[in-house]
Amino acid sequence: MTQRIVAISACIAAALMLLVGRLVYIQIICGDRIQARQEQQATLLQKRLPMRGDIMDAKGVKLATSVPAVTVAADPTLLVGRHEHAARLLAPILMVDEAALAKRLEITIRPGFRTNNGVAQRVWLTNQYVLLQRKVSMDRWQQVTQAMAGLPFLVSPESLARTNGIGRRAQTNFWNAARTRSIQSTPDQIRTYPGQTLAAQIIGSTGQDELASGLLGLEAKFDDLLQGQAGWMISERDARRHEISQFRRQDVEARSGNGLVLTIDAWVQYHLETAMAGQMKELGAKGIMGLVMRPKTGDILAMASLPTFDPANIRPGDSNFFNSRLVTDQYEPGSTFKVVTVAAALDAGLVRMDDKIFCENGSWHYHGRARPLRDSTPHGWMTVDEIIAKSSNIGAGKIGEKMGGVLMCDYIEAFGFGKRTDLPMPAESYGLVHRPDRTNYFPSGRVIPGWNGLSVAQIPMGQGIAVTPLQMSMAVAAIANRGVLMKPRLIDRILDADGNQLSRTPVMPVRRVLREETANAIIETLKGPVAPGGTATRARMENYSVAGKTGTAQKPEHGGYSETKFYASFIGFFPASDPEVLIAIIVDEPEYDRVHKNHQGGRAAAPVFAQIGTNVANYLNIRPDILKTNAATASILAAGTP
Amino acid sequence: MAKNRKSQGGEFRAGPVVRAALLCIFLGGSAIGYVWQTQQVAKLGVERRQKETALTRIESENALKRHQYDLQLQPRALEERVRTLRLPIGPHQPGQVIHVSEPAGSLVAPARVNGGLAASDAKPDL
Repeated sequence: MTQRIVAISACIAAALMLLVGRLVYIQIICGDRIQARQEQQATLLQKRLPMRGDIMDAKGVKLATSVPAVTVAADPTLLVGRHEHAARLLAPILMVDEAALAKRLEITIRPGFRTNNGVAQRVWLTNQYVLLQRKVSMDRWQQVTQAMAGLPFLVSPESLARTNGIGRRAQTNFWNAARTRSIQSTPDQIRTYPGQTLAAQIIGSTGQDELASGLLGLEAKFDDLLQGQAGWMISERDARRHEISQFRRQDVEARSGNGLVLTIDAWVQYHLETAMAGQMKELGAKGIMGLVMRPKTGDILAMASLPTFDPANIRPGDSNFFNSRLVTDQYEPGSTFKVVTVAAALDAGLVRMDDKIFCENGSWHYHGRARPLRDSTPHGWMTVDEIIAKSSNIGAGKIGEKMGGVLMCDYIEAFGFGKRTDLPMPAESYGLVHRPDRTNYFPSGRVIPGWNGLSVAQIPMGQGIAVTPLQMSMAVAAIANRGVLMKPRLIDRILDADGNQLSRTPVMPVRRVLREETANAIIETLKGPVAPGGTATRARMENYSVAGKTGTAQKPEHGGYSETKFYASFIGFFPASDPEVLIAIIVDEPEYDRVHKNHQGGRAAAPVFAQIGTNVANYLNIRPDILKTNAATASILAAGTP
Repeated sequence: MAKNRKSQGGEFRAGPVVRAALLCIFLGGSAIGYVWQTQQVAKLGVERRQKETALTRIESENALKRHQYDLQLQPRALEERVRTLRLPIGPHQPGQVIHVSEPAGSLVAPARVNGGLAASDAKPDL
């Protein structure tokens, strides 16, 4: 009896020892490996995608926004034998070629390596993840899931029917799960531009990654602000890969990106782009640039250069139109620059408006040079006022000569030429302004000696100097703002994801460039080109006094100047008595018209100014300064008079 | 000499029985409670997950609707709509504008006396 008890006890003890041994093996020897494997299998890590912030116009109209979407991927190992059928279902929804999709859904096996405990092992790898399409909208994803529900199982319904109840249910569940997991989605977002091409060069565009990183324009410049902060969730999942939410360990919500509110007004931008597109087509021009701004604050209401691009649908040739040429391109401004010359000479007290200057009857051999400076129309003695109104090159050259290079250059720099305006746009140009009295080294690496003998007569008429259209507009805006140069404002404020204001860009004067009396005098002078007999009569508006200056600048070509390629421009503002809006229009290479001179600033750019000006004045409710009593007004006034 | 327990009389002692019953009830109740609670937690977890999924779906639908609204606010879309529906609205023409020159004395807002206009300001001098 006792022996039997001992024997049984020994057996139990041996069994227990075996169990303990196994326990030690599992818990201690293999513990770390098994735990790591369990964690890998059971841990669920989900990234929470932040929605990119919106870009809005001054009135809250969205110019760029994000909508939720998904990235669709397939696991071909779960589609064995049915990949062609799946391709037939998915191709029309994903709008891809069916044969190409079927090829991608086909299972492939290739040799590869996998490291196990630091040791590389040869293994056979399959394509378990095939990216099918990014940025698939939610409604299309719904169509995908609905279509995939119709994908037949690999086993035939007959063979499924032959199995018993539990087996049939298990098999059905298995094939259902395989079908569901064969096409998967991960969160993504689509960056959309509701205005399509509206303000495309300002807003820019984003990449195809899930965070929609900014690539161009403000999207790139303010990428960090717009992008937001990704969140994450760490939890555990069951055998069916469903989350067991009670075991959620970390749950950090994504923080959506901040929003940008621009000074741009979508309606003004739309009017500008529409008018510019029409004029570009009519003139057969290579391009056209336009800007609408408030000279008192530097707020840019609209800014565009055509041709442009669709940020949501970038085509191969679009790269030439990615940047706003008003900021990135530099050009010789031509006659519009005479405003700067005359303003500078007037401010320095070297000329008065009624001073008479002899304009050499249209041809001036400056200091005995062989090639004369020419005026398009010969003029004799003219006042400074008339020099602006008739846009005399020789008159401007003589004023420049009176000033001398150094003083002229001081004023040019004070007006902001040769420096960036610090508009928050990528790739802003400096322009090309060189000092007369020393060798000039530019950030681009270019070296230009001081002014040559002709520069002092040439630069005052807008040749031999390169400026950006924005710099030129800001300089004229400084005159309209009674002599104070303003910093251009494009970003009005930054909002958080809930719409609360985080910061606001202040209205910032840069410096006083001219005395107020000088600016007032120049404003009066700038009414000349728009008055009858001036160069820009087509810029006239019905109820507003307009001040401005035309320019028809020859384009440099083969070391000289082209006779047929021009920049035709008009920069003006209204009402001249209290300037509220400045509009700059620059037409790049309008078709040369020898007979009607339609390539000149007064004919190519000035009419667009008037068209946009009328619309903008109506829209912004700007108080007219020319009161014309029409029939309706007369009847009201007559009725109201006692 | 120790008494044989089997030979003892049929005296029923309720205390231990009650204690044992209570212990059993407590243990059983705890076990059932634990299971119930675990089930509740699991059930709530599933509900939470379903609600989160629903919330995500609703948020995504909201975003799409907001996007449709944004599209309708665009100048191009509004202009097209006006054209399609032939609505008689658009920028006013110069002939439709009535310009009335303001009287000289009305540049300063009239002062208020006891919540109303001061007698002298009520009728501006035209």
